[in-house]
Amino acid sequence: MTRPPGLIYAVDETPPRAILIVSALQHIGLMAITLIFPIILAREANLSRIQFLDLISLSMLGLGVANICFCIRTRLIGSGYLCGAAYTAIFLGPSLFALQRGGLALVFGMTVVGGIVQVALAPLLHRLRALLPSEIAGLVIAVVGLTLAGLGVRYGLGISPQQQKINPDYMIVAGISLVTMTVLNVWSKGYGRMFCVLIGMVVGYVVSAGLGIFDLAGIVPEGGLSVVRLPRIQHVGWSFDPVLVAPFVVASLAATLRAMGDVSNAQRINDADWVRPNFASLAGGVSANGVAVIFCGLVGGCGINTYSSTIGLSGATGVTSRSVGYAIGVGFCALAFIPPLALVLAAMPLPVMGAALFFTAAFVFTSGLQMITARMLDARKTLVIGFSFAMAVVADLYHEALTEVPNVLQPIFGNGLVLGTVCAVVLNLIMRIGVRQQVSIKLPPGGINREAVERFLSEQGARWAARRDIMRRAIFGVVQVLEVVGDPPGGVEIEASFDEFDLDIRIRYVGALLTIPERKPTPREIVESEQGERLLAGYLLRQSADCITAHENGASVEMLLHYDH
Amino acid sequence: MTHVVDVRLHNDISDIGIVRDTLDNLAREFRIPNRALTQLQVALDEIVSNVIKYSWDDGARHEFLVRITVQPDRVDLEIFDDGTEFDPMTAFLPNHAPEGRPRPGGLGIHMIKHLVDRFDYERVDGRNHTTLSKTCEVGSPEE
Amino acid sequence: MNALSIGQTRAGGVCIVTLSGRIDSTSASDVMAELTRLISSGEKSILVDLGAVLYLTSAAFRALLVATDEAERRAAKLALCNLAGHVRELFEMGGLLDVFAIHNSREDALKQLGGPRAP
Repeated sequence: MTRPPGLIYAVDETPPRAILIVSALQHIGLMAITLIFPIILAREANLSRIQFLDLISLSMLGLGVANICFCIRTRLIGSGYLCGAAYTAIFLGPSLFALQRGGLALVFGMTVVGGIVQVALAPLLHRLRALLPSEIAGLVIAVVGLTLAGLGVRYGLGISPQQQKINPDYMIVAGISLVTMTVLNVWSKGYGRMFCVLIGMVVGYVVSAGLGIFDLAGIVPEGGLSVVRLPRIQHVGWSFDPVLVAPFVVASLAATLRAMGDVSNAQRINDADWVRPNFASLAGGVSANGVAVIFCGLVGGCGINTYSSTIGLSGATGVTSRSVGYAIGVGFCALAFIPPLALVLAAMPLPVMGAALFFTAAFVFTSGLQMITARMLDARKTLVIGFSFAMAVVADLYHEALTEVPNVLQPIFGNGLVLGTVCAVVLNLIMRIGVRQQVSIKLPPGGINREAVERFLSEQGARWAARRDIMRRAIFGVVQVLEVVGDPPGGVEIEASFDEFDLDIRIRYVGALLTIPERKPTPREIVESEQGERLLAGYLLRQSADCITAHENGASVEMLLHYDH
Repeated sequence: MTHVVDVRLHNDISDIGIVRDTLDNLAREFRIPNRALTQLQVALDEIVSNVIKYSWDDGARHEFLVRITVQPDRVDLEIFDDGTEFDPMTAFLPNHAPEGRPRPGGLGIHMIKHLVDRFDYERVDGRNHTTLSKTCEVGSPEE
Repeated sequence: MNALSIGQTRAGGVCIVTLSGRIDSTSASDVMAELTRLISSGEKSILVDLGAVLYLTSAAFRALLVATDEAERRAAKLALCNLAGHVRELFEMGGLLDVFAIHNSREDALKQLGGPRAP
């Protein structure tokens, strides 16, 4: 594992207390944006102001616990990374649907069910890895990035379904906020870069207050606010309805995929050598998500998910320390009992949210793209990714048209991310028909056909969505072997087999074993004789493959080039 | 910690393997970094093969010495031979190529200078004394 | 499709040879022939740009080594530049990174090769 150069505080490092606190505050601010989802739920449920405050406080408690769950590193629960936890649009659809049918109790009850589903899925992730390859995780993240950007623009410009015009005050606040964040992130180092979003948000609050957008009085409950307060849970109850099972299961599946994508992303930004997700940590992250969702349902909140913006922000600022995650958790738990602070966060002006969302969306989106493009993609995979991406975008663009869809399918079609994810998984499964994991070609005698070898391996690599760099090494390996072996009678047979973790290439020919030298030939040796050149060939082969073996079967030889994928 | 090893070689091309293996073993024992080892091996190969090929032209068997000194912050290679005067600094230059014979040296002085940190020659008591020195961190754990 | 192609341009006193495609046992001799031709015709500064090279096999390395040797003989300078990640890896595996004059970019290389006449 190699520490990427851009990191200031990596996952295992603990920043000094001041930086820890301010970083946590920054993330809290960013995550608080997602309180909009429980707020929407509360508004739809027509709660009184006191109950509204209760719901917000309990939602914050839920966030606190969730954040801690994600960071811990026990055997079953926790990913060990700073992934952030936040409320999500994924669960909003089914939650509103449940609210309609059975009130808040149904929402909370079904949320618990959703959490249980996730916990159940967690141990199966490794087995399901063929279903959920990393390019799909990348797709999920890219779509999330786009969604966040869209949301950011909507909030930033004040556009809502009721009002299609841009609100100029909002635009000013969002613009100033966004510019502050960008300038700090790009042109400053150290604290400026680390706290760019927080500073941008504070600036946004100030400008909003100046323009009269920031209205705290509107949500303070009658009777005023005490500084510390235990939230009441009288409005909390739980019920169950089988009709809601399907939408909540789908939501849980989408949340699982997004959690997988986010945790993968978190792993990736902490390790310059990252090539594939560590499934143990992924499973830990998903079960942590499930446990947190269960907790949220129990205390009267809606479903949470990992927060892509947190990871985007931690990558942008260079502070990916797990300790920040714990600090965030503690912070939110404390906020649950300090209503004034909670309200300040809950009353965050929309344009400020917009600017922060838009800023972090950029990092999230490009992360997803990088995860997709690190793999070789053939026509099948390209279609899977392309279609699914298009469906995800379309679902958000043509939201109104898709409300005609029957209720059961609403959670899928009503949400771009869910639709895109379901599409990707289903298409991927269908497209796997006919893709063999072991293929071979026979090269006839009469000269080495490098074109054939390169084409064969490239096409297979694309079909398997194998890593580019590994396929390049394999192509080099096979061609180099062929050059040394020459033109054996009967030609050469090349067999390639692949699973997500191993690429094995077997080369069979009639002839002598290749010598694979232990030591490097010197330039002088290489130049002076053909033997020297062969030694170099053998040595390069040894270094480029992770393992080379060869054995004789009578007159023929089988060489195995093995690459860890 | 300074470790010195003397390797006696004859002007027989197959003897290069002896000093090469010795350097490899020392690298393993004292943990000389890989890249520095490669650079030393290449430079050593150049100098020693030239000594073997061109220091004596009487067809007889001669002996010469390679001294390897391993220190915590560098590795020195010294080659002592009593053959004809052979200054690698000048011998590799194009216009010094002996008539009718292949130009001595493989890839030349530029490469050697590029590979090692110190490259010296002096003629002392009728002997050629060539020194190669590579600064590196010896004994640190390597990935 | 990936066969070797050799291109040539000049930048001041430096002759830039651009190689693209794969350099293997069949094309290595072409590379060696071209480079030695340039050297014998009197070129004193040659830069080989490997940016578009897919991979090199042992024969290619030998060709480059021989060309470097030939350049030495004629007191000419031969340098390489633009080694992409995996190509650079091959040089590293072969222990040949230090044997050639290797520069990251054409600009860096031209500055170095320009020598005393460079601005």
